[in-house]
Amino acid sequence: MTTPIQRALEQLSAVILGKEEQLKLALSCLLARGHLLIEDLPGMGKTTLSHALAGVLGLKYNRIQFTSDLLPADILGVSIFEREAGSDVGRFRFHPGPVFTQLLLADEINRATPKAQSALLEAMEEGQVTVEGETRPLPLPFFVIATQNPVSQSGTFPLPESQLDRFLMRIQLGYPNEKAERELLEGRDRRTMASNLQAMLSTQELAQLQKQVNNVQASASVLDYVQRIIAFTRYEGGYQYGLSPRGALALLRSAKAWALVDGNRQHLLPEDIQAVLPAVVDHRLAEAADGGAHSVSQRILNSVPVLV
Amino acid sequence: MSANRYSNTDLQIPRSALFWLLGSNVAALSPHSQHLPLWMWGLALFVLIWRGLTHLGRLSYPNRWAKAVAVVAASAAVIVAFDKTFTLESAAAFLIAACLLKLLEMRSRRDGYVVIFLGYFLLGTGFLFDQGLLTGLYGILTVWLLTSALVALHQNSFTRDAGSVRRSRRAAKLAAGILLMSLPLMLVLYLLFPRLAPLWSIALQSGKAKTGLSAEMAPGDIAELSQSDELAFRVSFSDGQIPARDQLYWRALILDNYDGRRWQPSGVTSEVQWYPQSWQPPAQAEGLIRYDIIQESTGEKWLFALRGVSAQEERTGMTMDDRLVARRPLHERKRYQALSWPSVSISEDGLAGLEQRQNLQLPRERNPQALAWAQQRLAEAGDDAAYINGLLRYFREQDFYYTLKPPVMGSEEIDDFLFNQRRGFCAHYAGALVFLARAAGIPARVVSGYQGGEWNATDGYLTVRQYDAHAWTEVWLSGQGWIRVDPTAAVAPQRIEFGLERAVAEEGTFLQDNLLSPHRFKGVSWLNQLRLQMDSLNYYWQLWVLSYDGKRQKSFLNGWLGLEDYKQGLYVLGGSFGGFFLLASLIVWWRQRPAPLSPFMRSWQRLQDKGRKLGIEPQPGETAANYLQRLAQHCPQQKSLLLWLATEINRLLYQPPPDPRSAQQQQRQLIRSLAKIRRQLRAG
Repeated sequence: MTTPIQRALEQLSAVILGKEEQLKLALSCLLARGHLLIEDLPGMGKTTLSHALAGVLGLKYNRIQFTSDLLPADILGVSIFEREAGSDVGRFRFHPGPVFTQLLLADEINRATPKAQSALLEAMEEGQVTVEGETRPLPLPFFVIATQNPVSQSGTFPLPESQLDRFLMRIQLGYPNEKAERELLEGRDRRTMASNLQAMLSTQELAQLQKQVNNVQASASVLDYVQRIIAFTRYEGGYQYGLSPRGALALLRSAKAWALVDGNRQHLLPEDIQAVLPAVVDHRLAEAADGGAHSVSQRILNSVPVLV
Repeated sequence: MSANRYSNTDLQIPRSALFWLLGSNVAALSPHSQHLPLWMWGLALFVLIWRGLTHLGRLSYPNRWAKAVAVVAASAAVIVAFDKTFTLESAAAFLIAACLLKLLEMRSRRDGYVVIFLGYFLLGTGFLFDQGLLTGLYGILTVWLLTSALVALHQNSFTRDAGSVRRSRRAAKLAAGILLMSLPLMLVLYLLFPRLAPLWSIALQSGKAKTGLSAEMAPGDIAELSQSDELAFRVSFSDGQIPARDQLYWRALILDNYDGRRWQPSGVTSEVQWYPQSWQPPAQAEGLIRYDIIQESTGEKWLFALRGVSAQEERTGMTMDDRLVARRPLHERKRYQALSWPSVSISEDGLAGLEQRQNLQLPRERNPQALAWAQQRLAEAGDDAAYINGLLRYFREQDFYYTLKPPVMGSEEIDDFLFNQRRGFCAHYAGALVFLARAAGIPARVVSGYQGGEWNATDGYLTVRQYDAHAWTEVWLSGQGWIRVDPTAAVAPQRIEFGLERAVAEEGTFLQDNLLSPHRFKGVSWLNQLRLQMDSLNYYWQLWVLSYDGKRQKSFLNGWLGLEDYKQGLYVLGGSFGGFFLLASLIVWWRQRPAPLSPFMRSWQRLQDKGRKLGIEPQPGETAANYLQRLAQHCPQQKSLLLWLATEINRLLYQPPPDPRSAQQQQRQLIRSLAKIRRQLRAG
C-alpha cells in the first residue's frame, strides 16, 4: 500500500526529473512547517517545482516576482476607497495582497529592498499580517518558497544571516543528469504538466501529517548524536559561532519530517539527520565557516561520530 | 575607537570588580590604622570617593598633572609626618600612600593586578606590627577578599551569571574554593619552608617605643608601667610543679648602681656563660622548676626567669648575677625553656672584691638623715639579718602606704620618702631598703622584673602583663649568700598574694589611665570569662603557631619526618608540591575522563576492529547501518546476517521498546549476536 506521501512524491518525480532528493527535502520542509529557500541559477526548475508542489498538495498558489521597486503593500495588500454604486458615499476596503495564499513563491527574493523583504519575512514568522492597524491571519498551511540567484549579484540585497535563519532549509536543484535531461527534452512541457497535477492530499491530511512529524520518536542515542553535532559547531569545529538552539530544533524537526517522507518511519535514524544536515545547517553557518558554505556540513558529517 | 585599542593585558576592569578591588584594599589597609597618621585616612576617603564618582561617571580619571602633584604631595607628607626617620611605620605609610594613589588611577586590568598584589603585600606588612590570633583570622578574611577581587577582575560579559550581585557571589565562592584547595599547600609551606630570620628583626625597626621594663629605674617608672595591660610574657610549667604565687618573682634586671636618683645596672656581674657551657643544677636537686616562656618582643636581650636559673637552650645564657639573657635583642616574640632551682644558695662563700664594692656603693653626700638612721638601727639590731628584719618590721608597723600615685619627693629622695611622705610604690620601697642596707654595710641590690601573673587554671598557663611589673631587693648575708627581700610584701601583702588590682583597690588607681581595658572589668564575670577564653586562645595561637621558629622546625623535621637538615626538608617541600600538583591534575583528569563504554559499544567496537583487519576502515561520521552494509559487500557469505544485524542495531538504538527491562534483554541478545558474527566474519 502506498502512502499519500509516496504518491505525492511519485507525481512530483514525474514532473521534476531526477531530483528525488530535493523533492523529498522540499516535502519534508513543508511537513516540518518550515519555509524553503532555493538557491540556483535561473531555469533550473525552481518555479516548476513550487508549481508542482502546490498542485500535488492541493494548495492555493501565488507568485511574487521580487524587484527592487517592490513595496510592502505589493506583498501584503492595500486598502482602497470604494464608492458604493450610484452614490458619493463609500468606504475603504482591504484588497489582500499575494501573500494571502497557501503556497507563495517569492522569486528572486534578493532583488527587493530590505523593506520589502522584511515585510515577507515577518509574515513568514508570524503567520499573520498587520496592515493599517488590523491583524489578518494568513491561511493555513502557509508555506513560502523563496528563490535566490547565486550569481550576478549586482543590484541585489542579499539576505542577512538573521533572515536566512527564518528558512528551515536551503537547497540547490542543480543540473539534471543525462538521462533526466534526455527525458526532459523528449517529453511534454513541464509547466503544463505541473498545472495539471492532481491533488494527492487534502488540507486536512496535510495538517495530519504535519502533526505526525511531531510524534516521530527520537531515541536517546539519536539525540546524543544531534547534541554532538551542535557541540561540534559551537566548540570544536573552529566556526566563529555555532548552531543556535533554534537551529538545533530546526535540525531535529527536519530530520523527523525526513523520517516520515523517506521511509514512513515513526522513529528517527542518524541517517535522517545526515540527510537533512546540509540543507538545514549550511546556510546557517555559511558566514561562520572559513572554507565556504558547502564545506560546513561535510566537515560535520565526516568528523562527528555517530556512535560513542 | 577601534576594538583593538586594548591589547589582551590592557583590558578594562569589569564594573562589578571595582567593588571588590576597593573593598579588599580597604580591608588590607585597616590593620595599619593604629600606626598611620590621621591625614592618611583623609587621603583614603578622598581616593575612594573620587574612584566611586568615576565609576558613576561623575568625575573623570585624574590627569597626568594631578597624579604628579598627588605623588609629590603624598611623599612629602609622609616624610614630614615621620620626621624624616626611616622606620617600619614610615615605610608602611609610604607604601600605603602609593597603594591609595594607585587605586585612584587604575583603569586597565593590569592596574587591577598591581592593586591586588599590593593588597597582598600590605596585608603581609600588617603582620610586622601585630601577629595576634584575631589579626591572623582577619588576615585570612582579607586574603579571601583579595582573591575574590582577582577572580572578579577576570569576569567578563561572557561569564555565566549576569548581574553584579550574582557575579560577586560567584567570585567570592570561587575564591573560597581556591583558598580551601590551597590549604594543604599553605600547611606544607608553613611546616617545611626554611625559617629565615625575619627581615624586620635586623634592620627595620619600629619607631614606636615599646612598653616594658627599662634598663634603668627612677622611682616613678614602674608605677607608670602599671597603667598598661599589655602582655609581657606567658609561662607554662612542666612536671606540674607550679610554685606558689608569692614565689613568682620573674627576675629580669639587676640594678646595682645608685646615683642618688636613678638605679642602673653597673655591669660588673653581667658576664654571660652561654648554654651548654653554663651552670646546671644537679639532676636530683629538690624543688627544680622547669618552665616554658613565650615572651613578647622587648627590643632588649634580657629574658625572664625565677631565682636559681639555668640556661636550657642554644642562644641563651646566664649571667653571674643569676639572670637569663639571649644572644640577640628580642625584636620578635621568643619562646624558650628554662630551669630554676629557687632554693639554691648563691655566692654564700663571699663576694668577689669588685662585686662587693659595687653592691655597697652609695653616694655618701646624699640623704644624710637616712645614713645616720641606718647606723643607729644597725647598732640596735646587732647582726645583719636582724637589721634587715627590723627594717621590714619598721615598714610594716609604721604608717607606710603603698600607692600608684606617689607624691613628688624632695631632692633628698630617700630621706623625704622615709621620714616625711611615707607613700610610695614598689620602686620606692626597694630603693629605700637597698639604700639602708648599703648604708649599714650589707651588700644589696635592686631587682626589677615581674611578680605574680594571672593563672589560667583550665589551660594551665600563667599570663604576666605589664601591670605585674615589680621591683624588689636582694641582700647578701654571710653564710646565706644572696637572698630575696621584698619590702613591698611588708607594706602591701595583697600585692604579692593577689596582685596589683587588689593592692590598690581602695585607691582605685588600677589601670586608671586605661579606661577601656578589659582587665578593669574582672568583676563582671561573663566579661572576665570571655577575656580569659580569648586569652587562652591567643596563648595556644602563640604556643603552636607563632613560636614555630627555625629551632622548632628543625626538631619537627627531625622528630616527625626523620630528616637531618634543611636540604632534605626542601626536598620534601618540593616533593609535596609535586605531589599536590600531580594529585590536582589527577582529579582534573578524573573529572573529565571519558565515560566508560556501554557493553554494546564495546562489542560494537570489537566488531569494527575485526572489520578493520578485513580492510574495511570505519569512518567517524558513519552510521552503524552504513558500515555494516560496506562490510556486507566485502563479505558476501555473511551478507544477510550483517544486514539483519544492521536492522537490529537500528531497532535497539533508535527504536527502543519503552520498557527498560526488555530493552536490556534485547541488548544482551544483540551483544551475543555481535560476538557470534564477529567470529564468523571473513572476507569473501
